[in-house]
Amino acid sequence: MSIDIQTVNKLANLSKLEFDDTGKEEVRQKLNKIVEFISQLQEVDTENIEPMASTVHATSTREREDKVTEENHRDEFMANAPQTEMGFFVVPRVVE
Amino acid sequence: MELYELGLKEAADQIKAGKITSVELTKSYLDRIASRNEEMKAYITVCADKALEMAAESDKRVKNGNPRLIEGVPVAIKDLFCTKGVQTTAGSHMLEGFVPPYESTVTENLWNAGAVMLGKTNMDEFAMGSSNETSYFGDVKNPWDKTRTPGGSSGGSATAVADYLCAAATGSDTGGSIRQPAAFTGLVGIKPTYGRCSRFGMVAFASSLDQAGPMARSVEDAALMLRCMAGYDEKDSTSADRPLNDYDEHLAELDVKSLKIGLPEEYFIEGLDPVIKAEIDKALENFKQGGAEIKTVSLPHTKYAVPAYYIIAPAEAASNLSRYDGMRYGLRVEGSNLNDTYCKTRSAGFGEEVKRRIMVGNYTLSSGYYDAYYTKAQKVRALIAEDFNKVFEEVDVIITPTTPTVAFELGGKITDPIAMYLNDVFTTPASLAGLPGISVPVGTVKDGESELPVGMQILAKPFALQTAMQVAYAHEQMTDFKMRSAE
Repeated sequence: MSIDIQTVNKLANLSKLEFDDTGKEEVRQKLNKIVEFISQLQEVDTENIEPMASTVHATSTREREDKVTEENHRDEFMANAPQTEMGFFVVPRVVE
Repeated sequence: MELYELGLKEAADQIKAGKITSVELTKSYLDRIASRNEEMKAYITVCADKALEMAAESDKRVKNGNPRLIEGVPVAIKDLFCTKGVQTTAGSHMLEGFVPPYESTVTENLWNAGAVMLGKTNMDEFAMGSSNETSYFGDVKNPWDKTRTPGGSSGGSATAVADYLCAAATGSDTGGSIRQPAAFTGLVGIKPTYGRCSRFGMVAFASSLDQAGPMARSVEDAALMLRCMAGYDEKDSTSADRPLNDYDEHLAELDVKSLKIGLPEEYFIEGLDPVIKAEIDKALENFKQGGAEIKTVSLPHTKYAVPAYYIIAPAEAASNLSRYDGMRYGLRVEGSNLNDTYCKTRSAGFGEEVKRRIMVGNYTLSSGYYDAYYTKAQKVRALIAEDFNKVFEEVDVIITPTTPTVAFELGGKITDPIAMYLNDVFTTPASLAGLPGISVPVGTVKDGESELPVGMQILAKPFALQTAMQVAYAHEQMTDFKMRSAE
């Protein structure tokens, strides 16, 4: 199974990344090598094996009381934003 | 002896005894950093003023008779732990200039134990790399040979400790990012059991694998540093709610005669540099002489760990890194509309390796491939963990080489992702299984003109890190390895 330019375009769109033509071809070649490498797993017999998503050794999920533990840090959180106005994050226009 | 040559424990003892002050010690490090960091590139940010302020505070505490565990000892922090008011970049252009409004739990714990922060260390971008060369902030040099990598992703922390630019440092290990650089620079590096250190305030790479740990010049220092970093934290839902050991106080309690060591045959394979094997054999011989039982064991799925890791980690990374959208923090490059702004921001902010892993992650997670890759990798992960469970019924610890080769040349593997990934062949299995592991130096070997350190990995059962530390400590007492001295 090899990755073509259409797949690279689709993945770039899913990833919100863009590449120029040379970059695209380089990514395509490297992704092919990586996919070939990770495809080794197909030879492992995993019949009746449960997928392991986490190694957390806890037996139950913790719950806590539903109460506010943080104060308002709005100004501090906004301080790192590239663009703000009146205490809001400014995003490019989305409705024409 | 210069003050910067003191280890963590030694320095803390001397400060508490009033023999030296924290300000003196901190200045000693700051002077050395000022003369060496431009070349070594260990630190991205040095916070001299803050360090001296914290040191003065520590000296006051000592004077008032209430010093804490590592009062006044200067440490370095990998630049993916959020530090309130101090730039935190994760080695990425994306986060250049990002100043966290809050503190990570690991660093908060260190400050509460009395540590002084010298600065933030260089690293592979978002911890994705094994040579520190994916950093936006330049290649870190290995003090043993400046043409070589200190390893990665915690390469800045490794060089900071090995070049005496701090007493100890924090690292993080997702697939080997503490253990491999520790091996490449002659240090002790510990990856604790998953859940032992809180991930709160750590810039996320692959959340089911990321774990913080210490790097230091001795087992005792690493154990003490970990004791000051770790602990239960309700802000991290995967944090382990278990009592924390005072690790450094029980290092000498091992009875080598009743120790059972497992040697997995799959780790002593073609591709392992024979000089590394010879150094490990020397260390094992010491244990044998001491009466330990050494037996060959089998971890049959070992060779699938790297491919499984390079499915799981990028998949989690692709999800985690979707937060970098240029809206709330970090870089923003304006485009013609919202989507274009996302694309331009992320394309300018991320480096090549990060982009590649996001693309791979989105490939294995996309419909049609999800079961063939992502679910398959999780099943293989279960088999790898089961291999370890079985072996740990028979042995106390597993010993392996940490890396298949010694530190390689800067520029040597960066163009070939697979060659770079294979560096992690001995470290990823324990990461996938969530096990604790330590890399300790066993000796040095000649490679060309250079004398380079070799690391040995000690793995233990979940939350049996104390045992692994004791084995590391016993080894340290028996080995003839000597840490390089400061120039």
